[in-house]
This record gives sequence, structure tokens and C-alpha cells, in this order.
Amino acid sequence: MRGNAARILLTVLRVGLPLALLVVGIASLVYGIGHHSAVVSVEQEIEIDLTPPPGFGAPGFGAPGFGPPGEGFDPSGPSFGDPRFGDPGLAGPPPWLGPPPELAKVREKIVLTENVSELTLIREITFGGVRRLSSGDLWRTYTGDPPSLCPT
Amino acid sequence: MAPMAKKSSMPLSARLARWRVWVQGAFLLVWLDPLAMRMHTVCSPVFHCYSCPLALFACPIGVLANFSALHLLPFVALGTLLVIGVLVGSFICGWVCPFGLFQDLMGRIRTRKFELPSWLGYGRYVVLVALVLAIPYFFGEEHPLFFCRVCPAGALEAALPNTASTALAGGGIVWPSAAKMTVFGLVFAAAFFSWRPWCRVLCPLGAIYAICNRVSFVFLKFHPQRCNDCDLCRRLCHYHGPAERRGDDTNCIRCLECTRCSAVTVSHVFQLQQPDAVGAATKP
Repeated sequence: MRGNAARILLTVLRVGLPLALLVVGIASLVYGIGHHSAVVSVEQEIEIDLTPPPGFGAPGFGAPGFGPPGEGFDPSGPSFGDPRFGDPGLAGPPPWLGPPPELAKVREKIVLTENVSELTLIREITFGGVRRLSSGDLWRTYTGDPPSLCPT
Repeated sequence: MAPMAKKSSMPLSARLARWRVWVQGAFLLVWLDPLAMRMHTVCSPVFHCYSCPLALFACPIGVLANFSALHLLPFVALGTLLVIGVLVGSFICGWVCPFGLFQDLMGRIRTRKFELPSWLGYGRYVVLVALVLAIPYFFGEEHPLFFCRVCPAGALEAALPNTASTALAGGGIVWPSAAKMTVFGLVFAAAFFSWRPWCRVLCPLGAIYAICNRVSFVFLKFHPQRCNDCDLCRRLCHYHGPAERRGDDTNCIRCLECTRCSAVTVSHVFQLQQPDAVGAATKP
């Protein structure tokens, strides 16, 4: 009877450590899949629209309206250089200004931070998509399509 | 009739061992991603480079090394290795790992095989601690000894196929890293003259599973009371170390060849210890 109890106790002890490690492993998996993430800085290129608003620039440069419609200047009204003003002698942009610059759209690089899950990080490292800077920040190494090959 | 009787007396594990190369081949098909699913957010339990054009999962050692370089704790990779390691230990090395299969096939070529001293097995822990954890952590992934830069599995499964494919596509040859190819060349040459040289001397994944061998649910058990010193288990074991006499040995890949001897059996922790085995078992 005592021998049986000892054997059962021994078995429980033998099972205990692997079982505890199994639980730790499953907990680690669940935490990694569901909760663990890291902040990664991402450089993105954005497009800024610099088209002048209507009524601004030649031939309509100048003459923005002030005050509510009907009072003061009408913003949609004729601007400086408009033939309705008669001929002030400036039918077009003043010659010293030259042609208006063409600043329709510019591309600007900005840095965003993104919370990336561990599963996404695993995929990113398979092609060297994330790198740690000396400052300690994690940095995505590419913009647009990811590289197809690992850097090593 | 005599052979029949002999066959039926052979334990199931020993009969299974004869199918090992087929099981390894079947798993190789899985790792080679036949359905092109590319599930690289998931860690596999084996040593298979994720840069391989046909890799289904991410390599756990590559994930450990890269996360070390990022100073992050890889919960998914650690959890995967811990769960698999605790359940079956180094069965993964013997039955599932594609790089192990490659070395097994090389080893079948009939050449004189040299025995490696068992202390060389500690090299695996050195590689795990230095090349997979410490160097990436302190020097980042740019260091020439960053593990993925010298990994022979990466050379075989990723560098060579990618070099060939870019050359065939007419995109010019992008030569793989010389260090990686040198290590692969050495392992390749050594595989002719020794059984699984990479696994036994340098594999960091094998080091993790070797530690897990001590605590896994399933293990090999040596029954000294059944042993008559016939030395059959030693002759059956390709590794000729202490593995065949201690089922939880860290050098054992659990190929089950030694279970042809009745003194070695596959056991599990839920099995009640027999009264005659108490005090003699290798498991704590």
C-alpha cells in the first residue's frame, strides 16, 4: 500500500515539471500571438497638394474678399487684373514677378510610428524588414513593397 | 516461420524506426510548402531557412537571432520550442527536421565513418549562446558571425536556390556569402565521414531540444535489469556515445534504432514506475 502511494507520488512529481513547462510554453505562445507588440518607426512618403486656391494668382492674384458675401469685397468677384476692372495697365502678372511657380504637388517623407504585432514582426524579419537603430528605435527598412530576399 | 516470429517479437518503436526516412520525407514535403501558403508569421519547430523559396514557416533559430538583434523577447518562438520540446524532445531532430534528413542521406553513402567525441556536443550550446543570442544582441545583425550569415541550412535551402534562380532568370549572379558557403561546404564534406556532424556538434536547435530531452513527456528508458551486456544497443546507435544507455541523453536524436534491444523502450511520464525499475530508471 505504502509502495503504491510512493509510486503515485513519484509519478506526480515526474509529471509536474513537464506539465509546468508545457503550461509556460502555451502561455508564452498565447501572449506572443495575442498581446505582444513592438513600436516600429515607418518612413512614409506623402503627397502634399500645393495648388493655389481659386481666385489666387495670375490673372486672379490679389483681391481676396473680406467679410461676408455682399459686404466688403466679394471673394468670388473679379480679381486684380480682371478686365472688368477696366485696364489698369496690369492685364496680367506684373513682369517683375515672372510666371507663377508650378507647385501643384510635392512628395514629402514623414516618419510614423506603428504598433506591430509579434506575428507581423516574425514575417518582417524573414526578409530583413525591421532593424534596430543605435538609438534603440526599431525601424522598417523599406517603403512600398517588401524585399523578396533576406539580407544575409 | 522463424523470421515471422522474430518480427512479431520486435517492439512497435523498433518497427517504426525502419520507416523513419519515409516519415522524414513526408515532413519534408510539408516544410516545402506544396500549397504555396507561405505562413511566415508562424515558427516551425525545425531547422529550415525561411528564405528558402519553398519554406512554409519561419525558422525558430532565425527568429531567435533576429529578435535578439532587435532586443525583443520572442514569445512565439520560445513558446513553440518549449511546447514541442516538452512534448517529444529531440524526436523532432530524428524524425522531422529536413536538415537532419539531408545529413542522414549523406551518411548513407558508404564511406568510412569516424566517431566524434561526445564532448563536441557542447559546441551546440556555444553556438546557441554566442552566435544566436549574444552576438546579435550586442553587435546586431550586421556582424559577420550573426547566425544567419553562417548558417549551412540557409546556404543549402536559400542561398543556392536563389542564386540559381536569379542566374537562370538572367538577372546576373548574386554570389552568396563566402562564410556561409564555407560552413556549408565543411558540413557537407563532414557528412560523408560522420553521422549528422552538424546536429551533433553545432546545431543550436538541437541544443534546445537536447535540454528538453531531460524533461519531455515522452522519453527513451533504459532498463538495466534487462541488459545482458550484449552491446547490441551500442552497435545500433550511430552516435556511439552514452545515448543508448541513458534515454534522456542530450546527444540522442531519438531515432529509436536502439529500441530493437529489449533493454531500451519508449516510455512516458504518466507511466507508473514498475517496482523493479524504481531506483534504476534514468528519469527522475
